[in-house]
Amino acid sequence: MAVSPEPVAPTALTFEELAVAKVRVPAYVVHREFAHETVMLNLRTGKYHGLNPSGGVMLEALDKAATVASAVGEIARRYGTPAEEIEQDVYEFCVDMLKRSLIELDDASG
Amino acid sequence: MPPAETAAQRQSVGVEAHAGPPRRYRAFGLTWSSTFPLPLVETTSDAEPDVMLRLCEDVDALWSGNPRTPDWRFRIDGRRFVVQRGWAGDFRLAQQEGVRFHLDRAATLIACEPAVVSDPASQRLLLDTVLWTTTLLHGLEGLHASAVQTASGAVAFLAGSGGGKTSIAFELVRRGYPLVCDDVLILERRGGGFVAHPSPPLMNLPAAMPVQGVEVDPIARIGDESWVSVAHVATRQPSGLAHLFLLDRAPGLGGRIVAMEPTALDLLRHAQVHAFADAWELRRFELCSDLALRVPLSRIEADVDAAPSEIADLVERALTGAEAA
Repeated sequence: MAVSPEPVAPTALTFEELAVAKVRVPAYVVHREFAHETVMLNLRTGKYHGLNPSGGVMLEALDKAATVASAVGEIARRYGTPAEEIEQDVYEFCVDMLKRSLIELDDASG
Repeated sequence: MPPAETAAQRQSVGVEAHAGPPRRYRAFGLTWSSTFPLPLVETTSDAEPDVMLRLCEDVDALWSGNPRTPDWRFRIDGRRFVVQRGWAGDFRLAQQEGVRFHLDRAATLIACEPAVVSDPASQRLLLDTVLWTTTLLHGLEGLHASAVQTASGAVAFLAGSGGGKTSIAFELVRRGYPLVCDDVLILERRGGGFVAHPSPPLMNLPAAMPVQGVEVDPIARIGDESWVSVAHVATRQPSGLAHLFLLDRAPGLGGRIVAMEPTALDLLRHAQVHAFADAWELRRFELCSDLALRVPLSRIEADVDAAPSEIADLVERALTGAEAA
């Protein structure tokens, strides 16, 4: 029988742990991108959440990338900014989204 | 596939001895048949009815019962209206201290208490709330809105209760735009867009509202409203949904129309998806998202005391500009 690992509280994650993880939007969360906002709906809670354009870009990059670290690289390229300058923003974004159950983490290292 | 009315169904709803031959009507994108008269224009179409309306003395005897499910509640005419789903998937619809209805699991047979024949308020409840909630179970979607037909398609006005939806629609009807609906706009997805289906050609007008210049047939005075038929000035044809206007009225607001770049959140409180439909929350999100992305939405800013004619002027100018563009 498969045993699920103990869930890790988002605030207990270090960036190093997060960097190697794969971010996934769970099946119970739907989202659509609009001109100036991405709107997410958590179907389990019925709550709506709005992301500003930066948040929308981060979500898109995280959803597509194999790891959070590679998403950081992609976002940095997109904005023409050194990755080190946006790592903290991406980390805080992920922690916030995890707290709201709008994303999940997979261990990309296998 | 159209429903077949079985002898058992006829017996189960206790059809009245006085019931006449079925009459057929078109409204909300569906064909309805009833054995009792309704203030609607009959359709000449031979299409089989999607939903049949029958009279029944004891509506509650038909309901399979289920006190555990959460109700779908809202207020109509100041009274609570409750939709409940039974064990068998059927529905009981009841107005607080008022008329009751039963809807079968397939949403093809509405049993109505006889009050719908003799009491105008009960009949209005049937032709408004009961019909549109039933329509939502047939896969169509809705918006709490009034709408008129223009050269470019249906134009809808969104607002909360008392926000002026009816007044602006009636003013535009006065100017020659056929009415699509007064209160609930039923939509069908087609070809990547939305088709607006006309409601029954009925309106609830403030009793004090002047109706000169519009051919209306009064049906009844209900509270401080006149329930009227506007069959002569309403469209019977579905049309593409061309534009949405959000009415935003507040003291001191100057009259202007502002094009919006909406999100689903702007439309959420106006969307109508049946509360017992499968995945209703997801469907409501998708409805609002698709409307926001595919249909132009503008905000009408106007003072609370602005006359409907002033708002209609703004709308006509906006529509003319849109067509010119």
